[in-house]
Amino acid sequence: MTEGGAGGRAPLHDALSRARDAVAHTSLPLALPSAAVAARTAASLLSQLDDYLLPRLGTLDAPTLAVVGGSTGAGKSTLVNSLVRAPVSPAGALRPTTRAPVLVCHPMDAPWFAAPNLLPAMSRSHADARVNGGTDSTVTGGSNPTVTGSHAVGAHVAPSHAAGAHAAGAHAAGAHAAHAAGAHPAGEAPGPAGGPMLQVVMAPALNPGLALLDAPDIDSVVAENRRLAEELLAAADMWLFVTTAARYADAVPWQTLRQACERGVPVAVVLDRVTVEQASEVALDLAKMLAGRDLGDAPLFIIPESTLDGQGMLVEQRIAPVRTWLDSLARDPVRRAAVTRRTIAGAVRSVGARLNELEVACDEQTAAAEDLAGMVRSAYSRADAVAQDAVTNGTLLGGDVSLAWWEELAPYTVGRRGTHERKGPQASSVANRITRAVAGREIQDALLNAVAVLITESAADADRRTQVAWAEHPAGRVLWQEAAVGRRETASCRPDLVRRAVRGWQSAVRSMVRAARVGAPATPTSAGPARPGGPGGPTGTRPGGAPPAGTSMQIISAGDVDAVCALVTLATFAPRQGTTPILDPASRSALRAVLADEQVRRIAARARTDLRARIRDFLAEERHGYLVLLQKKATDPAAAARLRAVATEVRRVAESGVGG
Amino acid sequence: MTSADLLTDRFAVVERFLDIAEPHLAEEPLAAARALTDRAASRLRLSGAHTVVALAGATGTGKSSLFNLLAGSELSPVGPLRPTTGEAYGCVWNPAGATSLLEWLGVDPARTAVADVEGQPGLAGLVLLDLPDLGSVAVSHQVESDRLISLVDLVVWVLDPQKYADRVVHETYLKGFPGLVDVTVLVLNRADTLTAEDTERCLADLRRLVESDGLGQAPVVATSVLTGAGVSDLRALIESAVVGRQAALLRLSGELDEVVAGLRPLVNLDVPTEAVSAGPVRNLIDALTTACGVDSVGLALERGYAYRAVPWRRAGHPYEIPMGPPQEASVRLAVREFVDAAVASVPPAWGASVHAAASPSIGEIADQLAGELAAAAPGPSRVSRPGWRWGLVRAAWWAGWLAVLGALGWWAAALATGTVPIDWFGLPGPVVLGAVGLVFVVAISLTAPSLTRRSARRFRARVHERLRGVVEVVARERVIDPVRRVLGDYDDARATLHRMP
Repeated sequence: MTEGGAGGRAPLHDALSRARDAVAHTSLPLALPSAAVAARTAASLLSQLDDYLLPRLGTLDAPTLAVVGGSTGAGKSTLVNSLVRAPVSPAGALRPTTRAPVLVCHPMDAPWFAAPNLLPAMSRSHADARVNGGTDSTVTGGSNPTVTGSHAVGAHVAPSHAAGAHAAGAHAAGAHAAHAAGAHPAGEAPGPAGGPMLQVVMAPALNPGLALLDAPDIDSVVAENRRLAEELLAAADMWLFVTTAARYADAVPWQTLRQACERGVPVAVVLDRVTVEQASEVALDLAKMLAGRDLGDAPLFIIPESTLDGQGMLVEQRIAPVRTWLDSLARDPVRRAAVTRRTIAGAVRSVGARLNELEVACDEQTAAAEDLAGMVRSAYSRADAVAQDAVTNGTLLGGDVSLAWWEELAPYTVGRRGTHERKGPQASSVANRITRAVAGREIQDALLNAVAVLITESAADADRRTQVAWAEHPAGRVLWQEAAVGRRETASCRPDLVRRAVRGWQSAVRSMVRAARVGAPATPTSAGPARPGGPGGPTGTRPGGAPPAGTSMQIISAGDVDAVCALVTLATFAPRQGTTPILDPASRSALRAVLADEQVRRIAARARTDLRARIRDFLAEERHGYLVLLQKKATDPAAAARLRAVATEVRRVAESGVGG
Repeated sequence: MTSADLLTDRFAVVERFLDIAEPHLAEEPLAAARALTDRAASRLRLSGAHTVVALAGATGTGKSSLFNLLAGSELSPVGPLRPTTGEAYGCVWNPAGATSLLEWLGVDPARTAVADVEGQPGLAGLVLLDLPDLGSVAVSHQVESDRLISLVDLVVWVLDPQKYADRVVHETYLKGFPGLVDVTVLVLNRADTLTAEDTERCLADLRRLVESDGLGQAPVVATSVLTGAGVSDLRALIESAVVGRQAALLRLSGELDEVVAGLRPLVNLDVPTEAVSAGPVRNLIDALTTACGVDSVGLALERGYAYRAVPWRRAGHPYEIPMGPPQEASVRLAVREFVDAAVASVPPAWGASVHAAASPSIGEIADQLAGELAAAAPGPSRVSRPGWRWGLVRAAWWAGWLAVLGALGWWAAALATGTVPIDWFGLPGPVVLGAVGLVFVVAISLTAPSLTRRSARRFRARVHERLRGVVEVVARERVIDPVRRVLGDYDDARATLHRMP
C-alpha cells in the first residue's frame, strides 16, 4: 500500500516543490483589497508546504502528529497533560495560558520530531517528561516497560526558552535526550530571537506512533498565538479540536473548523468543561452543528467538568475514551497511514484551490497594474494632445508674444507702406542690422519662453490627470503617496529639462536656417519662384502691389540669422487657417506673405515636426517615471500562468497518484 | 452651566464644524461624527432621568443569569445551549417617562419587564438590557448587539474565566475607545468556577488587559450568580451611575472626545495667511495679465499714441489694436500654480475641494479672459485721436507755419508794392510775424516729442490698469474667490473646532 502510493509520490513531491517555488516567487505589491487576503493565503500555503506537505510526502510511516487546538481556556493543556500523565504544558486560570507550543511524543518517536522534518523552521528544545509511576503504571507500563527513569521526578517543563534549554541540558544524560541532542545539536541551541520555538517533550505514557502537539489558542488577544496555532494546525496529520460548553457556538473556532473541513483534515472534537447534567443536551446540539457543517463524521468526545487531581489533571476515567481512541490509532499503522494520506490528499486539494486563489490575485494585480498604467497613458496622451494642438492653434503667438515683437519685426516686411516708418529694410546700416538682430532674438526669446511654459504646463497637467485618475483606484491612491518623493524630484528638475528641450529645439531651428542660407541664392532677384499664394498658402486679402517679393530670401541671404530664426519660429506657430491678429492690414498681409514663403514654410514645417517630437519625448520621459514605478510594483506577468500551471500539475498528479 | 448644557454646546460646535466641512470633505472621515451628533441629539431629547445599562458579552458568560438576578425575574431565558439570547431583553425600574426611550432603543415591549423599585430606591431610573451574545456563529445576534451597544449609556461587559481574554471583545469593543472609560464596567462572572486565589490572579490579569486596551480606569469586579458574590458590588456600581444621572452625558462626552480627536487631523494646519493673500493673488493676476498680452498691447498703444500726438505726423490712420488670444498654457499654468499653493496650505483631505473649486476654470478662464479683454480694449478711435489738448498743439504748430508763410507773403507784397511794412516794436512787421511763427514751430518741434512720450506713457498706464482690472475681475470670479471660499471654510472649521469648550 505504501509502495503503491510511493510510486505516485515522487512526482507529487516535485509538483509541490515547483508550486512552492512559484508561490515563493509570487509578489503582490499593489495595495488591492484582495492583496492582503492573498498574501495571507500565500503565507499559509508556503508554511503548509514547508512545514507539512513536503516533509510528509514519502514518510507516510513516520509517526502521526495530532495537534490539539481550540479556544483559549478550553482546557487543551490540561487534556494533553492528563493524556501523558505529566505536567508537560502549563495549565492555569490565566488566559491565554499556552504561548509556546509543546510537542509530546513517545521517546522512540523523538528523533523524528526533533529533526527538522515537520515544521522545519521552528527551533526545537527538548525535555523528557518521565512520569511519576504509581497510578499511571497500569496505563503506561504495558506500552513501555523499558522506561528506566520512571521513579524520577518528572521534569518540570517551563515554556520559556531558557527553562526549556535548561531542562534539555539537565537531561542530557538520559539516553533518549542524548540521542536527540547528539543527532541534532543545532536544534539544541535556539537563538534568542530564533522565532517561535517548539518544545519536544518525550513522554513514555504515549504510544509510539502518535504525538500530541499542544497548540496555542486561536482566539485570545495575543494575536501571535493565533498565527502560530494556524501554522501548527496546517502541519497536523489530524486535529484534536477542544471546545467547551460555553465555547461551542463561538464564531472563531468554527472558522478554524471550516478550514479543517476545506483541507480534509481528520478532526476529532472534544467537548470539554461541560457539566454532567448538560452534557448530553449540549453534545447533541454540537453534533447537530458539526453535521450541519460537513463534519458529521468527526468523532465527538465528551469530558464532563470535574475536579482535577493533585497534579492538575483530569481523572483517568474521564479521558479514557479519548485515550483509547488515540491508542488504537497509534497502534494501527495502516489506519494511521490512511489518516495521513487523507490529510495529505486534502492538503494537496486545498493547495490547488489556494494556488488558484493566488492566481486570481495575481491576475488582479496584473489587471490593476495595467489599469493604472492605462490611466497614466491616457493622462499623458490627453496632455500631449492639448500641447500638440497648442503648437498650431495660434495661442503660442497670443498674449505676451502677440504684439510688441511683431511690431519689432514688422518693418522687415512692411516697408514704407505701413504706418511705421522707423526702420525699413532699405535702411541697412550697421546700426539697423544690429537692432534687427536684437529684435529677432527678443521675439525668439519670448516665443521660446512660451514653448517652455507650454511644456511645463503639459507636464503639470498630465501629473494632475494622473492624480485624479489614480485617486479613484485603491492601489493608485497608495502608489500616489509612495510616489510623492519621486514626483518632487521630477518637479524640481523639470525646469532644467524644459530649458534643455527648448534650447535643443532652438539650436535645431538655427541649424535648419543656416543650412537653408547656404543653399539660398545670393541675390533677391532670383527668388521669383518662392512667391506667396502657392499651393496651400494663405489667400487672405493682399493689397495690390504689396507683396514683398523675395523678402524672406533677402533676409535669409542677408545673414541675419536671428531674424530669420524668429521668422521661422513665428511661422512654426502660425495657424494655418484663420487670422493672424497683427498690425494693420497691409503689414499683416505682408507678413503673411513672408510666412507663406515656400522656403520659410518648409523650414517651419520641419521645425514644427521637430518641436512636436520634442514635446512628445519630454512627456514620454515623465510618463516613463510613472511606468517605471508601476513596473517596480508589477507582478511578474508570468506569475499567474506559472501558478496556473503548477496548480494544474498538482491536481493532475494528485488525481493519478495519491487520490487512489 | 450644567454638564448637560455644556455637552449640548459642545455638540453644537461639532455640528457646526460638520455643516462647514461636509461640502468639502469625503464622507468617510465625517460619518462617525455625524452619526454621533445625530445620536446625541436623539438621546439628549429623551429622558435624562433614566440610565440605560446594557449587559454585553460573548455567549455563555452568564449575561442572562446576571440580568435575571439583577432584575429579580426569569425574563431572559437561560440554558446550556449556545447561543442563547437572540434578542435584547429589558427591565425598567420606574417606567414613567421611559416609553419613548425604550422605543428609541428598539427593545420589544413584550420582552421588557418592570422591576420593583421598592427596596432598591437607588436603581430608580435604571433601564437594564440583556444584549444578544457577541462572537457566536449567529451573526444576527452580534448585529443587534452592536446596534444597542452604540445606543446605551453604560455597558457592563460580562466576561468569564474562560473568555475574559478573547480577542473579539478586547479588539473590537474595548481597544480604541478610550473615551468610554467612564461608562464601561467589566465583570468577571462565574467566579465560582475559580478558587479565590485564581480569582484574584484572573482579575489582575484582566485589569492588565483592560489597561492595555486603554481603559485602565474602568472598574473590574468578579461576580458569581451561583453564590451571589460580587453582585452587590456590581449593583452599587450601577446604582451610582443611575443616581448620578451622568452616564448618558459621560458616554456622549467620551465619544465626543474621541470623535473630536479623530477630526483634529482634518484641521491640523493653520492656513498660512500668504496662501491666498496679496502676494500670490498679485502674482496670479500679473501672470494672467502677461499671458493675455496686456503688456504688449499697452506698449503698442503707447507707441501709437506717441507717434500720433506729434503734430507733423498724420493722425488719421486708424491704428488697429489687436487683442491677441491669451497664451492658454501660460494661463493654465498660472492658475495651476496658484491652486497648488493653496492646496499645499491645507491638510490633504481638503485638497480635493480646493481643486474642485478652481479646476473647472482652468480650461475656461482663457476664453473668458479673451472675450472680456477684447470688449474692454481701447478701440481705434480712442488711439487715433490723442485728445483735444494735442489738437491745440497741432493747431498751434500749424498756426506757427502759417505765421511764417504769412510773414513771407507780407514781405513779398511789401517788396512788390514798395510800401514800407508797418513798424512793430521798432522792427518791420513781417520780420516780427515770421520770427514769432518760427519760435512757435521750433518750440513745439523741440518739446512735442518728449511731451508726447510722457503723455503716451500715462496713457499706457491708464490702459494697462483698466485691462489689468478686467483680468483681475475674471481671476477673482473664477479662481481666487472660489479658492478663498474653500480656505475660508477651512479656517472656519478649524477655528470652530479649536473653540470647542
